[in-house]
Amino acid sequence: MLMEVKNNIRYFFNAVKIGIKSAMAYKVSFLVQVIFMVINNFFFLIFWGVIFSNTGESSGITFNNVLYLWSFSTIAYGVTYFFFGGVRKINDYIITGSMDSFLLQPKNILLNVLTSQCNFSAFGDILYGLAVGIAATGGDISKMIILIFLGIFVSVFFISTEIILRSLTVWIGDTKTIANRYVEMLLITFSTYPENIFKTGIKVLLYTVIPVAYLAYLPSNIMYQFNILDLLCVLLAGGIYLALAIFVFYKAIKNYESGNNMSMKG
Amino acid sequence: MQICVNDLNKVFVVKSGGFFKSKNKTVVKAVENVSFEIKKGEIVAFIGPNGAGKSTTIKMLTGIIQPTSGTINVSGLTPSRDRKKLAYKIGCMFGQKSQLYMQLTVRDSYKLLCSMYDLDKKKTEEKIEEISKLFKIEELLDKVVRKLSLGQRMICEIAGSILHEPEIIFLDEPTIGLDIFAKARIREIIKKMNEEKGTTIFLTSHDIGDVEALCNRIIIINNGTIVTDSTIEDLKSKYLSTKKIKISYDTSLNTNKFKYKVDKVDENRIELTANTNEINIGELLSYFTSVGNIVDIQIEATPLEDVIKKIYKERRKV
Repeated sequence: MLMEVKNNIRYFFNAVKIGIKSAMAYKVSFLVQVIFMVINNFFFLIFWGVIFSNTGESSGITFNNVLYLWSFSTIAYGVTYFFFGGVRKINDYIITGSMDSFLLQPKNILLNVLTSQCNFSAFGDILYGLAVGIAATGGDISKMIILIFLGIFVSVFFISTEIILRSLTVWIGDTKTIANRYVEMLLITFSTYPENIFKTGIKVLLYTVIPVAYLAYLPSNIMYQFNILDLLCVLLAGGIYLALAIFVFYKAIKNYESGNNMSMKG
Repeated sequence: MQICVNDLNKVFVVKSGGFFKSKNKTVVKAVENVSFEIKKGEIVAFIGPNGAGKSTTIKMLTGIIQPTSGTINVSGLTPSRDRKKLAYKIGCMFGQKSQLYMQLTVRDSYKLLCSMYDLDKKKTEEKIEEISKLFKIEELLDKVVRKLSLGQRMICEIAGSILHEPEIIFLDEPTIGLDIFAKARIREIIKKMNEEKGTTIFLTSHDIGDVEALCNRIIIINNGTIVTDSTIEDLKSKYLSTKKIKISYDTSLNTNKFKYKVDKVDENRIELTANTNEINIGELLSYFTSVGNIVDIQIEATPLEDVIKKIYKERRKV
């Protein structure tokens, strides 16, 4: 068991190393993607800055609050798609029958699928998230350590949501559009707006089916005032989401019927 | 026995119907009561027309999909239950799918595959060197996979599938889309793997050339059931008893009446069909030798491809 975990970790680092190496083969493209992602994200903060300079900070919503939300959501997004970019291919692998190659290998299928692709532009999100985090914490080292730990941990909500939605392809057909819209319109959008602007009904959704509260709001609260209860909530919710995602994925694999389309690993 | 399959069945449920209509369920039997055994070191061809159940059977043998019923034992393991353990013992190469990484070099793809099979750094380097020498692909190692020609990629795919020294290799259409030179190279490599490492090979192919060049046993599947399971020699003697014989003489023959039935007489050339189960071929040849002075003789057996077509047709009629 321990040996298997060790081998899986070794495989993960090898996959990441080779993913980065292949990104470096296209240095210019890699740098352009990273820089444009940073610029793209930076514009959103400019808008917030303009709003706050005109209306002032009110209802407990501060510019610093927004910085934390952006920091957590972009670090989590970046970690998800840079290290586990294969999550976005689950539906494709099911539809084209490419899941076969993963089933033929002696590694954990899910880990193997998740690390099968690396989205280079997501590295820009990680850099941006860290930069915004430094601005929000004022460079406080202990706060930065907590921010990085939480930022990496909450990527579990992006990963789990993607796994669940894309695995549904086995039963309801290609869920690519549903998964893309869900992540972009719900997870990302809600996680970059402060909790206080939403009414109770929406808040219930944000603490259940759309796990934005655990992804951004509670981590943000922790940064302001460390609260063990908030931290436990985030860790527990992450564990539950991940367990559910693993359950759905393996249920899908059991019902996977393969296919004979021509395909290559991306 | 290295592979033991008993009463294997696979049923797919196909749903049809509109969005608002209730869905109709059709049960499709992809594989029906399939049983066979394969010994260590055998090269077996598993062939059949499209949709016959070849790939479904291979996918069940390798643990990709679960059988509906029946038992499978591959190297002492049950594929559907022991998928990970089995992966160390088998190698697979599906002609239509790649296990190499398109954006990586062949070497990096191999490194990743080796780490998947828990080979350490030193063993990985040794293995890549050994395999690249065996397959003569040293100059391809540092090329990006997507830049390889189809033939080069196929060779690299096969090499990749044996990095972990599997006991059995499943090859599904290994020569699909290749030119004759690449085909010959791949056949040579497969033969070498079997002879040098004693690897059991389970091969599906639509190319009869692959079967004739490599296999000593053939299993034919059609409509999900096994139609024939025999050695290539048995198959030939059973179905290749009919020979087409063409004899040319140095001068025109002055008769068209012969002891044996002749299909065609053309001045100094005759053509006839003989069934070796009914006629003694030696007697037939000595008779035609006495008719005139032979300058050329051709005896043609039915190509294996025609034999297989015949078997498919017979089975369809049944």
